[in-house]
Amino acid sequence: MIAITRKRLLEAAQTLMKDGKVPASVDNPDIYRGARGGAFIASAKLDWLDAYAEKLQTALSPLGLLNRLPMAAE
Amino acid sequence: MLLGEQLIAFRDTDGRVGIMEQSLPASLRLAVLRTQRGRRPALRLSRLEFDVEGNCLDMPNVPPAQDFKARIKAKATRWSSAQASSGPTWARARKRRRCQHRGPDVAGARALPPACTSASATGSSRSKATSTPSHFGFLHVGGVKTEDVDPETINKWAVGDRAPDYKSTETEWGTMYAAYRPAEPHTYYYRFAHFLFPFITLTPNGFFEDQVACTLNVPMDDTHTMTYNLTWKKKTRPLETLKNGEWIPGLEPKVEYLPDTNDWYGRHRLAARRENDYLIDRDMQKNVNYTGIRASAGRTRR
Repeated sequence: MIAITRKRLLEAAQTLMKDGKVPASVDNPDIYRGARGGAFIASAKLDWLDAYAEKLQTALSPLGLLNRLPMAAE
Repeated sequence: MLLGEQLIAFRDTDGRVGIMEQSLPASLRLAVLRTQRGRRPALRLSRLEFDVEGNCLDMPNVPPAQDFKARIKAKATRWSSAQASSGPTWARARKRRRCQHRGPDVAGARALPPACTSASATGSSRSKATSTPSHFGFLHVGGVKTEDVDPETINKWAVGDRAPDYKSTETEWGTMYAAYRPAEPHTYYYRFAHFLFPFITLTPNGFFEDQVACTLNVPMDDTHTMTYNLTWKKKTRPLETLKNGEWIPGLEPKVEYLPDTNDWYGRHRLAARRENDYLIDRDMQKNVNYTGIRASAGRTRR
């Protein structure tokens, strides 16, 4: 996680420096609405990202801002 | 202090929030030079008054005939009107198109006291700490056994296996990972966390269902970070107490600060810091938890 986060940051900085292009979330902050941290139990048969998308469907969102990511099968 | 820039935040009499650079506007510096060559060498800068847009409103110490406030503009216009929501005041660079996002999903949020850390704990390393899947089970709850936590919650799985597998991937918002270990038969206990551009982390210690919280590691400069924790007051308590209700040693957010000073790094300074080895308690480290640190500045609380 640390390695890919560093890589992501470095590439974002280099893209900004070379092309003047900012990360997509700068002009579209709704992107952040797909992120939720926390713990849960899920079937071992599910792919980890499918387990995440499934739990997002029922997660609480006090302001209704959480973006329910589509399941892989959809 | 933000990214090495010295900024002044203030409210006007209408309650509007303004943020401007601490340094003098270039036009004022030029004006000062011209004035010093002219008839008034003793211009008192501290008498100037600005509005939230950076306009100079008053120069009470300059004769009306020499007033040049209309020519002075502080660098405040690149910040859009900041708004107060859930405690913190949010500011947005005006160069970008105006967006409707209202900040984190933190209605009824509680903003914990910020913490200024330096040198050894920059934003990068603090984000790193929350991005290390196995650090929680060892460093924070290494001395906690399965039978010490409430058996009715999924927290028991967090201390039952301290060597999880994990997966990670890049996302549109940054990166994410999941640490996972076997739980009930044919199931995994997952802990998901995220890094969000530019310096936000969503930590995994909580119940996914209502874990509305985030940590902002705001870089003041290359060696100082101001950390903020926002959390929804109604969210379920994460793994932070034993089944008898007592705090897990080291997780109680009982933070001591040094007295404030007037310099740019003089607020929200933790008493436990690099110079005193974070007040590490070797006996506690040997017998209770692996950090040996009695209180946590980075953990969320209700």
